[in-house]
Amino acid sequence: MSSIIHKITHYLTIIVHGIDKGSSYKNFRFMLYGAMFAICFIPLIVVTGLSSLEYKKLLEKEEEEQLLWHTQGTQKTIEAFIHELQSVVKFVSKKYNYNELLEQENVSELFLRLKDQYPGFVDLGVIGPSGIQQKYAGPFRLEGYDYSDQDWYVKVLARQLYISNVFMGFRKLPHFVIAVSNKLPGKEEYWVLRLSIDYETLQNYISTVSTKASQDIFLVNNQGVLQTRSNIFGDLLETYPFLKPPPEGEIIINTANYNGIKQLRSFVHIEDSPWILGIVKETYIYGEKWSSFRHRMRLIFLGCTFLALVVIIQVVNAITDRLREADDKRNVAMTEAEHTNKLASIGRLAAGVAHEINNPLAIIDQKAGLVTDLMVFADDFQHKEKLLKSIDGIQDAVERCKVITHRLLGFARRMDVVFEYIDITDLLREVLGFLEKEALYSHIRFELAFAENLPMIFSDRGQLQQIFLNITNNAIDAIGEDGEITLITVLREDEDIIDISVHDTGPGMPPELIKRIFDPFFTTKEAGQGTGLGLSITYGLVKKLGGNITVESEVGQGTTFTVSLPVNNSHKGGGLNG
Amino acid sequence: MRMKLENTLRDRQLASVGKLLAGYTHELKNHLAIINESSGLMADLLGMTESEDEQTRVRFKKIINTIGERIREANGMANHLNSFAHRMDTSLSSFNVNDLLIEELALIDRVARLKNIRLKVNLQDNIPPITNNPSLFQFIIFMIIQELTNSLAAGSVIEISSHINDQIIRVCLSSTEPLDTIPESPEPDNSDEVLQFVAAKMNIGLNRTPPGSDPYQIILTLPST
Amino acid sequence: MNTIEGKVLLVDDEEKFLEVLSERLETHGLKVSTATSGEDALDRAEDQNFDAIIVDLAMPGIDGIETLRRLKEKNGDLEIIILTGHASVKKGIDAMKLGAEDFLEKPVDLSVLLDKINEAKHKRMLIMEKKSLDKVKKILKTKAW
Repeated sequence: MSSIIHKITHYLTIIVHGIDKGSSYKNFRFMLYGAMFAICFIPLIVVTGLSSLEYKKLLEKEEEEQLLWHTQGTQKTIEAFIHELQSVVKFVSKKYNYNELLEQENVSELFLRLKDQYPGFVDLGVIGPSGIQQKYAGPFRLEGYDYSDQDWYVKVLARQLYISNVFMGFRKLPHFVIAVSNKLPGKEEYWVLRLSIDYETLQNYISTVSTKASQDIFLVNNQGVLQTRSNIFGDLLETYPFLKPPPEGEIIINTANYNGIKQLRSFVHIEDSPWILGIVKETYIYGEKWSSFRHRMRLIFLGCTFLALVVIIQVVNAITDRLREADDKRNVAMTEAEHTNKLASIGRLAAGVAHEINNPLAIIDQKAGLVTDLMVFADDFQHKEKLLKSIDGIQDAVERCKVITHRLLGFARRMDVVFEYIDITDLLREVLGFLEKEALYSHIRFELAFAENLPMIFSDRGQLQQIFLNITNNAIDAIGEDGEITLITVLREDEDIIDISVHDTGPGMPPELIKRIFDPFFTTKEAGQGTGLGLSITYGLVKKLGGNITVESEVGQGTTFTVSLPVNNSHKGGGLNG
Repeated sequence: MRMKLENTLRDRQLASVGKLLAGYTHELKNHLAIINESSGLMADLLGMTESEDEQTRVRFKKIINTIGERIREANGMANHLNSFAHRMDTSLSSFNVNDLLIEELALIDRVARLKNIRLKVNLQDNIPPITNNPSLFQFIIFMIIQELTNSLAAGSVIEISSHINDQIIRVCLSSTEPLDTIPESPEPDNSDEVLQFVAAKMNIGLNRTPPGSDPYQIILTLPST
Repeated sequence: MNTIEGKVLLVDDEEKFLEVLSERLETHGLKVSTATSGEDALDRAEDQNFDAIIVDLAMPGIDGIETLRRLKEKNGDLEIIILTGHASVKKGIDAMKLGAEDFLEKPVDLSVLLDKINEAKHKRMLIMEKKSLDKVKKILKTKAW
């Protein structure tokens, strides 16, 4: 996770620094997708997983409890059934005494009566103290059969009541036996009443207690021989191989996998019988609750995924587009700045070269002049004419060089429009320096009232020079001869604006003139003296630099131009045309 | 689309500037040729003149020699400017770092000289040519030197040196005196950002020693391949 | 002062330059004709025999390269030297490819130019000699007696 964040920041820095555009956007988008997916899906998956797990546990617990209830209930009903059978046998043995039952007539009648009520009874035997069957009623002829050495006989003597496993016996029909031993009155000898019961009785009973709550209910004995049919593990008397006999009176529940199906199995002893009740239930996984839960979970997950996908795609695209947009903007700005800087540097370089070339030209010019001077005083000699002509040629060529170099300089200056911090006082002094001579010839004095500690302004030097050259020139022209030009600088601190006013003692202007003073081609100068573009250009330049220019004038009082320049000029110039 | 158009416009503008500079040098050279031939003719004529006193002849000779020297000087400048101008419209070519440095330093020597700053050149021989954008290279050098000259005091020296080590060419511009502050160009614009932008565009490295270090250095790293 | 004899044609649109340079070359003994345009030069080369033709590159009308090409087309033996203020490597290569003898930059040291003219002249003489020698050989071969 942290490595993803690291990668994202890495790509962000790459993008911010504008390197390797195309692929880094792709990578960034990819990383962003990854991160967003992780942020959305990891919690979603965790929540889904955890709730499934919890729900599973809940289901398991509930299921076990249910099974326990179910087992207990079934156990009780089966025990009740068996109890009833026992009661019948006990009752019969109590009601009839041994001697009565030695009468075949009685036995047969009893059997018929019993069978009438309990059709599952197959036969009835009365066994004397010696273990010999004395009387028998049923479909077989088993009188005189000796049971004395048989296991069940021994057991019934010991326990008074005995219920056998289901077995085939002589009859080759599955059945089980309930036997009761009774003391012969006055003797330490016992006679036994023995009832065989068709196993179907048991089977039917089991079938009736089966419900949908379990998949299989069966009885099994301690040896693992099935006492009833099992839906899963086979028919009667087949072996149930997995039996672990539960402790007496306790229900044990275990889980197992059978043929790929997870099962919960519960086992409990049926009281007073050799049987163990087995209930098998397929686990929750196959249950309706679980499947509907899974279904709902899946729907929620898919829904969330879909929503998340839509949102992620939108968000990632929006972010990447924003970034790209910002980046593009920055690139445009940088390219623009590069270009402007480049043009400016070429301009400066060309200007430097122009000066560099002007120097030798000046020297050549001067030397040529020197030769002319020398020749003027020299006597005529052979090639004087030709020499003078050559010098003319040199001077002419130098002149032409100067013209083109001058042109180059002008061009170079135009390319170099650069905003910089400018000390306006210095700049004004510089401008006045250009005009000093002219003013001197016209007897015009400059009065300077410059505020101290003016802040530097951020502006373009060339254009500022142009502005003040134009205004001051205008003032000189307005005065003509004899006068005073006053330059005042004031800082309006509250507004961060510097006011530069240029006042002349010229004739001033009437109001109608003032209105038109910044119109293009307007001039008060005589024809040929100026094109009239001066003040309108000045106006344009001041506006371009984010400033303002106003004029106050009164006939006979002179004119004052005031240029207001912002100290912090956010209005950056530049652009294609420099 | 708009950006493309603007770029084309920029390229055109640069190309026209290049043409203009080339045109200027051409014209200048033509005029210099005339001056050259005229002064040569003067020398020839003087050589043929018999009745001339020795003193004047020597004086003329000296003058003509001076003119010749100045012509060569101006011509040298014109040549540098010419090749510079012709290079402006090439965006990718093989060039020798030293050649370009020498040419450019000749062209901008005056900028430094005006501020009384000396440009000292110390170039290592046998630097192989590299393939890159020569005009951007010169642009970067120009910007750096301008930045340094703007922030250095009069009388300082800027040493421009080139080295090659392990196929990597380094151009190092160092000032003999430490700069107290980060050199602040008079344009408080994004000039360093522009420098880095251009360096990234050329795929070269541009590193500075921290302000105040002695010597303060700006190092360009150009892989030579 | 060293002098060479020979006949050269100067082609340049700058008349002043032609004037001065031809005067200089003449003081060194050469016979100089001038032409102010490529067309003019082609005409001159038609009816006169020059040891060397010196051509500027930038001229109105047909330019130096074209002039060079046409001159060479007319007479491949012509020795042509380019002398220009408009020097660039590419143009130099173009000119040399078209068979220019040399490529000089304005302003040129006169002695260099004179050397080149001299070279051109000698080369031309050698070619002429070889041609006449070939002619003689041919005659000797065909008319074996």
